[in-house]
Amino acid sequence: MKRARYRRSSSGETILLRSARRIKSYNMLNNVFLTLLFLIILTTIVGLLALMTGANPLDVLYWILWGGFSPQQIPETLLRASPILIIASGLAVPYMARVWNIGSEGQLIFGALGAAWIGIHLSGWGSFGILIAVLFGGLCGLIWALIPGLLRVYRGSNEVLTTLMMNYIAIYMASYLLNGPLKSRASLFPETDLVGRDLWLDPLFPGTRIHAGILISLALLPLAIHILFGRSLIGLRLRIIGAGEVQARYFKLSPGLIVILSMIFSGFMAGVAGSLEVLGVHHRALPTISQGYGYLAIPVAMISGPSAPMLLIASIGLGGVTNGVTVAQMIVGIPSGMMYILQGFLLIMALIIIKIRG
Amino acid sequence: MSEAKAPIIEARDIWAIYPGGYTALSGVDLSIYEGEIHVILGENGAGKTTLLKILGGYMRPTAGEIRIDGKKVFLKSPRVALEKGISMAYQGSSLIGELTIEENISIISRSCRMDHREILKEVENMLSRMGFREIDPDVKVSSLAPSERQLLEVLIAVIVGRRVILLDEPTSLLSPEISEEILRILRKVSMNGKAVVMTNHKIREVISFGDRFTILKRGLKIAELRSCGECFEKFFPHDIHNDGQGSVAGIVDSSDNGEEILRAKDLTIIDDRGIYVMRGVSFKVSRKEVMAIVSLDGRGVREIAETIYGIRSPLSGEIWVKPGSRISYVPSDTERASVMSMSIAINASMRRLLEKRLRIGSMLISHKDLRSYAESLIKESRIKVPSIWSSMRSLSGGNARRLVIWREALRKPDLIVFEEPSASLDISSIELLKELIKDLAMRGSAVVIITSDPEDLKGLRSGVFFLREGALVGLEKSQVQEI
Repeated sequence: MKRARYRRSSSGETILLRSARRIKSYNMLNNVFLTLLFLIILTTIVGLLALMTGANPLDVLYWILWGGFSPQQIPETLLRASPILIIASGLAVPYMARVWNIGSEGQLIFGALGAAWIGIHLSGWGSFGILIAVLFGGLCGLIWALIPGLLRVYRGSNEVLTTLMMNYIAIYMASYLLNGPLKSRASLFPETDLVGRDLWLDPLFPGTRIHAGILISLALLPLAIHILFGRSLIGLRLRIIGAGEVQARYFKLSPGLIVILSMIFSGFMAGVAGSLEVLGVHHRALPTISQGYGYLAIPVAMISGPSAPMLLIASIGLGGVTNGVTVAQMIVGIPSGMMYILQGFLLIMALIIIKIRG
Repeated sequence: MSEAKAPIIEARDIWAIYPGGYTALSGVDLSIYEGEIHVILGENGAGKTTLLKILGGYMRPTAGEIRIDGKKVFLKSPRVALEKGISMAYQGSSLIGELTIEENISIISRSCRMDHREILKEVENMLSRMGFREIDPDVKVSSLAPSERQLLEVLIAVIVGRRVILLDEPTSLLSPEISEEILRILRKVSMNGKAVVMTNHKIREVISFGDRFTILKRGLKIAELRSCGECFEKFFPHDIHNDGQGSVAGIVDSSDNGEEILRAKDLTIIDDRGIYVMRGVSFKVSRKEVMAIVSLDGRGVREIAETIYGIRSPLSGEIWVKPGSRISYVPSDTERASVMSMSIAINASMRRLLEKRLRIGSMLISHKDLRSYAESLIKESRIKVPSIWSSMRSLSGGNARRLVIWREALRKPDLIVFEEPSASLDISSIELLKELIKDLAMRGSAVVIITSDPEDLKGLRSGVFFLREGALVGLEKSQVQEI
């Protein structure tokens, strides 16, 4: 029986190999099916929400799609996809080792505050100033992630809870700083002064807000993730630790260091995303700097895992939905709470998919 | 007790074959008489537990018949057995952890026609006679210590079994004083006419205690005896009597054919439940030497292997491995030694990849290198693989384990630890493995085998330590087992 299964077929590959392929395509099908189901449920929910607010559901859906993926809206979609992608690539690293950083929102906010503060003082430093501001923003995000990392390794605290709580601390600290020490004297709103004009990341194409940071992140990060997880010795260690405590012990890896390193890496990336929002989009720090990117990146990192194309697709997809909802808000007049409902829903769906996949 | 009486239970020609094809019992006969204490002896895997489970209704025999009072019965569940007066305590798992003590008792009371308050009261009486404080019947069984849970289960079985009490390892987790107390209680109930059938690893404990002994070996009944004076030496040759406490340390003297790699002094190891799996044993292993530790009761094989490999710290004693040694370890299951979701190629190269120093320049894994190494490993270990890029899960259990064995062996280890070497391997793979072990020793590795099955050592020249309950019970030096 067994021998027969290894008999070579006419095409030269073993039959077992072909059946393995079939299983793989079945999995692909399964994923496509899940994604479709996911989209159908998503549409239904949007439709229901629209009905409840008295708008025409088809209108709302049309404007969300138009706002997300029509040619003239693509630049705005990419503008939103970029921070999601940056944060999600950072999160993919600890998630591979099963360290669940949920605190990107706070790490992003801290990064943005740091970049704005130093950006104001680096006026006149030019591109070197940009580099310093981005790195400093990353460092601020890193510190915000380091605290829960240390708590997990040395105190055994559950990082899901600590990172989540750190978000609220960051939000309220930002509120204090923007209303107090960092508040611009020239403005009535809780926001900082503008960073030095020479530190702005200017649009590369007229009529858009596409800056260099967006293009660099969209081009380089998927590649970097692919190399890290597919080809590197560090990715290998992350995957062993992600496989379980027993395996980590067998291969004599100490999870502690890797937990902390992967955690601060994701914090750094969230901080960088925050800095780019400051330098490239708003040119200052303000309370609404994030638009929920830190939360949106979580389902992206969870669904795409170590797959670089999925990471890119999911980021752009979510960036599009975010932008589409904003556009639909202005045109059809659905309430702004819609965005938060969708975000929460997406996170739940991501968790369900993870659960189904095992 | 007299032979003239008809037996309560008569089991004839009982066969038990597990779904995987493993034959646990091959045609065993057993008669149980009123008022006797019947002890079933045998090594690990002899089929003792299976036999009890069949009598207690926990398992159905593949073939054979069971008669109670001469009438053929079908024990389709523990409940049916209990209605017929047969109770069983089955290594901590006959109680439901999620329910409280009282809830468990009330479930049992429904099938044995006793009031649950009566049972509870009786349990409390017995416990208080043993010097325990009152128990709280509202406590969940899962929150009890393993030993408390076992004690409770045994006492309940003793109370609710109207005619026959089946006890699988009733004292395995209990302290000597409480064990003695349990045995005293069992003696008392047997005087009142109940039959007690028990298995016991602590052979010395029951040798003077039983009225009848059935000895099983690999699913066959090889003897039934009225006393077990000499059965010890006869059927369990590995159990050499020592001072009875079993705390003797022993050293298998190596014939000084190489440099010393591993040395342990008064090594004491406990498992995660706190049970002693090795008590004060000393040994040393040199290059070109094979040493085996046989745990006759199957305890602590993993813990001992992990301690020698260096990922578990012993409770006391010293363990020394020559500094700079490369240590390999083949656990009994593949999953612990691989990442099942990753490819066969990566798993084959795992050790080499992790040994590489992390440097910026050499961070990347070369696919060409992965392929060539995986192919050579597959050739050496003679396994069949769909594609080296498919995941470890696509391999059968035996092939996956062979991959790990050869991965560990081909890295030229100074010391290699095998845990249950024959696990999930078929006969021809076991022969290949034995050749590999000889080869490893010849090329200068120190080999340590930890196993619960002495058969694993057949044909190997090695020093052997026999452990029971973690204590050293026998030594054999440079033995060639030719059975």
